[in-house]
Amino acid sequence: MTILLASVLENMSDSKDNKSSSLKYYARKYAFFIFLLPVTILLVLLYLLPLILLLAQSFYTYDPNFFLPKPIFTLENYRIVLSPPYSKAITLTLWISATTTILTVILSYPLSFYLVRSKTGLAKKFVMGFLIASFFMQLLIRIYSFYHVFGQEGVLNQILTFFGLPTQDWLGGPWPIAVSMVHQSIPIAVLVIMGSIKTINPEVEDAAKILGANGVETFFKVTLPLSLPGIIAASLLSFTGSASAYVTPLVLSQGKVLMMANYIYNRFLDVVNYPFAAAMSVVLLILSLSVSYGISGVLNRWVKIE
Amino acid sequence: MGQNRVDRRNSWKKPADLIGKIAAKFLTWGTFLFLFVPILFALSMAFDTRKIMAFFPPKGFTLDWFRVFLDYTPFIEGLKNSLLIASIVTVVSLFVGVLCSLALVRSDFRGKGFFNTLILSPIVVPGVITGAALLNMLYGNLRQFNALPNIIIGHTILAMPYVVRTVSASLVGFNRTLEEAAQSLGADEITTFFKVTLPIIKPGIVAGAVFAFSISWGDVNLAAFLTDAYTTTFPVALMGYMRYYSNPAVAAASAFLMGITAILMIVIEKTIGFEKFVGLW
Repeated sequence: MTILLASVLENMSDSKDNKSSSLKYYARKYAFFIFLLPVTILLVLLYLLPLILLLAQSFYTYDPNFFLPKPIFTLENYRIVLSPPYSKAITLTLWISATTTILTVILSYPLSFYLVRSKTGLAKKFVMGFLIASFFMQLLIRIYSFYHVFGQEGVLNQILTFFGLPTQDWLGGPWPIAVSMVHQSIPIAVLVIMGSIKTINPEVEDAAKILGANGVETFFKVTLPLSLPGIIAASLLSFTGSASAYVTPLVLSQGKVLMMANYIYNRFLDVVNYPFAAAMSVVLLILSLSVSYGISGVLNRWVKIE
Repeated sequence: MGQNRVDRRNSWKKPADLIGKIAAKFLTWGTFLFLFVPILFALSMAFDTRKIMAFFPPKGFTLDWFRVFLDYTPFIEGLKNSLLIASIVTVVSLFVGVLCSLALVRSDFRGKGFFNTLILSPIVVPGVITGAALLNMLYGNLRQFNALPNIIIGHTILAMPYVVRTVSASLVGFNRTLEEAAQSLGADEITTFFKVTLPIIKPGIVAGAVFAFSISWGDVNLAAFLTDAYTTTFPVALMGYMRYYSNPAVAAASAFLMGITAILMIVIEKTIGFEKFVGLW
């Protein structure tokens, strides 16, 4: 009955469309162009154009005696960016971002699964509230949390001392940065993965179990592949998040470990070498875009073979 | 249908499943503790009586650092600026994002896939690069030194994809006959939008607003490029403070804001509920 009513209504509005004046018809047909106008202006003028100008800047010639770089084409900036010590920052950024991405996905998935599938209770509400609250938490305090963990007299070394083991200077290496980046990436990753676990119909899993699969097999052959879109999105978000980390290495290595974003920031604002900073940015952009493309490609192929 | 369902409790009785279940439980709560406990270390330092930044655990109890925080002008200026910027960014990105989502979900045109990718691409472009590109253009090319509008522009670019994503998600499952029913009952298109469409996609809009506000509120990567000596945002002011002073005032500032955040969480839970908020990604 309701279906019939709905189809009648649909036909009515359709016939109304056809009869109405051609002006109104065209206005309706092309309304979406007007709707897309603000976003297009915003993206073209304030996003694409700046990126193109940044690309152009990266080929300019830097002159230390003048504030403005000379608009003479050169590849010198890229040569410097790709040679030591800056190339070390590139490999380090890639290492930290890749480690962060893998750890983030491994840690986020069980938590997301629990939050989707368990019954609503106080514990679940608290975890959810905490996750959303962490979006509003100051970045600096989240980084300082790991200063207290990894610092010279931090919690980790206090535990080591308690057990009579030798303490270690953790803050000089890349691991505290990676761990802190995982901490920063998990909340958004959990939200994204939860979104895709939510769309899985539990009856599909039941079907696998009826066909003889045990719980572990069902999880790896059915649930995990079906939640792949969420995993891909989570990896992209955590990779780009850690690729642009700049405060984290500053606080957690006291300037000993520098990532690409640190050089970009330093050359733009302190040294005022725009062409070099632009070349570094372009390299970082190419890296993160190709990794994003790679992650989605590899994971999608993996699910097709399965 | 009911007979075909597998009893979940029985299916876990196989040994492999038991191990799997224990491992999953362990990982779940381990992850939560990893997220939660270090923050307690940092926040508890807000009550530390030592004059310089020391390590956990705090010694003694004092509220002096909250006074230091409230008396430091850049913090208060930064809070005002951050609130203003985040509010404007939320409104602008919602306006642009809702229009865009409506067009993207409800119409088909050549190059729609490309357009979609373009709109969502600021998510995969590191924030540092968006900031650097804007600095390069606004300062280098256009000599536009007014920090406030520059930051608003940058944050809107960062926040908009999230709004488009959440609002589109709430539009995809939308039953359009509801709108047609309203129109056949005599409502014009604008009335239909405000009385029918908007209330139904409200969860998507609220989730988008939360994302937009929190991105602008917490952003350091982009704001670090675009703030100047006169206009600063709160996270950048915190970083500046950390450069020159090493004391627990930073922890006090964060603890103070955590209180406000807790209130905000209750508002979110009461208006749309956490459950709905998550489904929209």
